[in-house]
Amino acid sequence: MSAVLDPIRVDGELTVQVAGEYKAALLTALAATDALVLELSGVSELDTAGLQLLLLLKREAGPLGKTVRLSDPSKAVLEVLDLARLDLRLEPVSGRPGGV
Amino acid sequence: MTFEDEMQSALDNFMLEATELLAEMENGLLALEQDAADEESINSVFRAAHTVKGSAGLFGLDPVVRFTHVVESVLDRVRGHEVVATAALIGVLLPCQDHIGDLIASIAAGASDETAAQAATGAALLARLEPYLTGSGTPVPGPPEAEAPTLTPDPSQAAESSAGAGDGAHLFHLSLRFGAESLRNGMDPLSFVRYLSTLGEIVALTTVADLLPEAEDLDPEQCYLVFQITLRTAEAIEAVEGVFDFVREDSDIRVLPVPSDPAGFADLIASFGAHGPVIAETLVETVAAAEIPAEAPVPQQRSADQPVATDQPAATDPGTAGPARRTGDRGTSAENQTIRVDAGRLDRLIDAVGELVIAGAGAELRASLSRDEGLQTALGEVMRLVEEVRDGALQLRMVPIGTTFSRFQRVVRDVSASLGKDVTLTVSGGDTEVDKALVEQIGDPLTHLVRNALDHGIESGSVRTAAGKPARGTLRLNAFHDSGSIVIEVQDDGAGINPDLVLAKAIERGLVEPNAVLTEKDIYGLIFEPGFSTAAAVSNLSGRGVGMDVVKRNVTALRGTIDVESTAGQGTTLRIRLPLTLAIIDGFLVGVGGATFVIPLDRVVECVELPSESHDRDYMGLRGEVLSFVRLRSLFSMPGERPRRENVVVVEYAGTKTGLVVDALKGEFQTVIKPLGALFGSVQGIGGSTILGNGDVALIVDVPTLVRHAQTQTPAIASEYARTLA
Repeated sequence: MSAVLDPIRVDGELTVQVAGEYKAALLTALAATDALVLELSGVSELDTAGLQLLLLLKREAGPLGKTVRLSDPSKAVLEVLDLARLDLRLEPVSGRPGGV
Repeated sequence: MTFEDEMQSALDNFMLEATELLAEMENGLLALEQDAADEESINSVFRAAHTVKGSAGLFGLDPVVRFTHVVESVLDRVRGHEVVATAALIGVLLPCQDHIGDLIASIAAGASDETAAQAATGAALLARLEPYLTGSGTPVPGPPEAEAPTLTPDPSQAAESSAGAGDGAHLFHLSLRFGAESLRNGMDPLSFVRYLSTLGEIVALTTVADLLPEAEDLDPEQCYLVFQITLRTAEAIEAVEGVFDFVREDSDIRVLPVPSDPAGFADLIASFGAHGPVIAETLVETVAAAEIPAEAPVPQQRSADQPVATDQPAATDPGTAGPARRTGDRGTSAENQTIRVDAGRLDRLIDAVGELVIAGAGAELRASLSRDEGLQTALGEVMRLVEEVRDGALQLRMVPIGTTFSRFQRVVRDVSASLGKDVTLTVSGGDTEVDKALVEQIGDPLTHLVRNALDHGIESGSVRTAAGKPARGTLRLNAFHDSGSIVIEVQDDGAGINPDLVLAKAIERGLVEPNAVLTEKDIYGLIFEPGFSTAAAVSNLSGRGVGMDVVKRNVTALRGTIDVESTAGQGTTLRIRLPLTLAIIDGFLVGVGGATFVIPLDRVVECVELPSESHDRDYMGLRGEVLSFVRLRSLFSMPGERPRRENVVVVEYAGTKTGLVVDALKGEFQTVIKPLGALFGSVQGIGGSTILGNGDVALIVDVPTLVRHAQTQTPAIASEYARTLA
C-alpha cells in the first residue's frame, strides 16, 4: 500500500554536480509510491550522471512492479534522450536513428 | 582542487588554446589573401578550424561546434581544391573567425548558450558561406564530387589520412566505456557522442546500463554507463580515435572498423565479462547496418570464462590532473617546441631566484670576511651559477614583440579598407624581446596610435598622388633596445603634423595663451593634452579627442615616455620608450651620507672624481662637454657634512648624460628589485629597493627621472659654462 505522490519536480541542472543529492531523494520518493512521476520541464541541463540516475530509478522500479514516468521533459532532457536513443520510458528507441 | 576548479582550469586552458588557434587562422587567411594558392596557409587554416571544433566539442560547446563545423566544411573544400580561396571568400571567412572568437569569449565570461544577437550573426554568416558548400565559387576543374557516401569499408585504407568529401564512407563500431572517474574529471560521455554526430551519421546507438551496481553501492558521481555506437563517417579511423585522446588513458575506448578482424570484436565482448552478450548484440546490429553479405565474419559470442588477452589501446597522453591539458607542439607550423607555463608559477620561480640571489650575496659577504680562500672560490662559483639561473629565469618572461606587431596586420587591413585608403604595414625588430606583462599593456596604446596614423596621418590616395607620393601609404612598426630601454616606433609616410594647425587648435581650446611662444617640440606635445583633436570630421575611429592623452597616460604608467617627430608633408614618427624593468639587475653601489644607493649598472657610463673646481658648481667639463650634476646628497636631503672628496657617476638616458654626485663608490652588486610600497608611490627619483648582503636596505635610483630633472637645468648651465671657456 503506497501513497500517490505528487510529481517530483526537478529544477535546474540534473548533472554530476547534484547527482549525489538527487540519488537519495529520488530513491526515497520511489520507495514511497508505485507510480513515480518526474516533472522535468525545469531541467536546464542533463548529463551522463543525471541520465544514469534516471536509468537507476527505472531499474529499481521494474522488479517491484513500479513505474517511473518522465513528464513534460524540457528541451535539454529531450536532446539527451534523443542522443542516447531512449524514449520517455527510458526504453531503447526502435526504428530509424534520430527519429522520434 | 574542487570539481569546479578543475573544470574551470580545463576550460581556461581551452580558451587560451582556442585564442591561439584563431590567431593562427587569421594569419593564414591574411596570407591567403596575398596568395590564394599557398598550400601551407590553406592547411594551417583548416587545421586551426578543425582543432577548435574538436576541442569545443569536448567541452560540449555546441554553438561553437555547429558554426565551426560549417566553416570547416568550406575549408575542407578549399583544401581539396574544389573551391578557390578568392578575396570574396576570405572576406566571409575572416568575420567567421571573429564570430567563433566572439562565441568562445562569451563562454569564457560565463554564458551557457549563444545570445540571440550571436545566433543572428552566425546565421547571416552561414548564409554567406552557403554558396561555397555546394560546388560553386570558382571550382577547379576536376573529378565530379561523389554525392552519396558509398559504402566502401576497407580496413587497409583506414590508415590513410582523411581526404574529406567524396572519399566513400567508413563504418565503425565504437565501444565507449569511460573510466569511473570521468564524470568527476569533468568529461561527459554524452558530449563525446554529440561530437561524434558531427563526424558522420550515428546509424545506431545503444545506451548500456547493465553495469550499474546495486542502488546502495552506486556512486552517483561515477560513470557506469556504456555506449555502443555504429558510426558511418568519411573520416579515417585516426580522426575518430583522436576524438578520445584526452580520456583514453582512464577509459576503455575502442574504435573497430567494420568489417575487420573478428579478434577485435571478440576482445571487446570478452572485456565486458558477464555483460559480454549485451555488447555482442549491439555488434550484431552494427554488422547488420553494414549490410555485409553473409560470408563476412560475424562476431561469435564467447562465454565469460574464456579469457582473451585484451590489448589496451596505448596511452597516447601522459595522464595528469585536468582533462584538457596539452603540451608539446601546436601543429606542424611551430618550428620550436614550446611549453605552456602558468604565469603565476613563473612569477613564484623568479621570486625564489631573487631570494636565492640575496642569500647568495649574504653568503659571499661572510665568505669575504673570513680568511678561507677555498670557501671564497667555491662561493664565487656558486654565485656564477646563480647568475646563470637568474638570467635564464628572467628570459622566460621575455617574449618577442613581433607577435604583438603581427596582430596589426589585420587592424591595418580592416581599418584602411573601411577608410578607403590603401596602406601597407611593414614590421621590423619583431624579435626584440620584451617582458610579457609589458607586451600585454602596450597593446591598447599601440592600437590607438596605429588607428590614428591611418585615420589622420596617411592621406587618401588622390591627395597622395597629387602631392607626388605613391598612392599606397606605408605604416611602419619598429622596435629595438637602447641602453636599457625598449623603443617602439609607429611611423607613417603621411601628411605629418602641421604645427600651425595644432597651435591654433590649442589656443582655441584654451590650452595655451594666444601669445605664448612655444618650440616646435612643445607644440607637438600639445597633441597629448586631454580634449585635443584637430580632426575636422570626427570619424568613428579616432578624433573624439579621447585617444592621445590616454595613450600618454598608459605609457607614463609603464614609466615610459612618448615623443613625436614630424615633417610636414612627409610623415610622422611616434616613439615610445619603456624601461626594461627586470626583477633582478646588475647594480652599482654608491654611498651617500652613510646610506647606500644602487644605480642600475646598464645606465652607468663611467666614474670620475669630482674635480675641485666643480665643488660648488652644478656642472663640470667632461672632455669638452658640459656635464650637469644631480647631487644625491642634497636631492635626498641626506644629513651630515659633505666629504672632502666626492665622486661622480656618469649615467646616460635617452642619449643624454648626467653626473650623479655621490660620496663613495662601492662596486658592482647583483640587485634584486623589491618594489616600494604604495606609500612611496609618488616618490620621484627612486625606482625600488633592495636588501644588501649585510641586511641593510638600499634604495635604487631611478635614472631617467634624475636625468630629465637635470636636463631642465641644462640651458642655463651650458651658457654659464660657455662663458667660463671664453
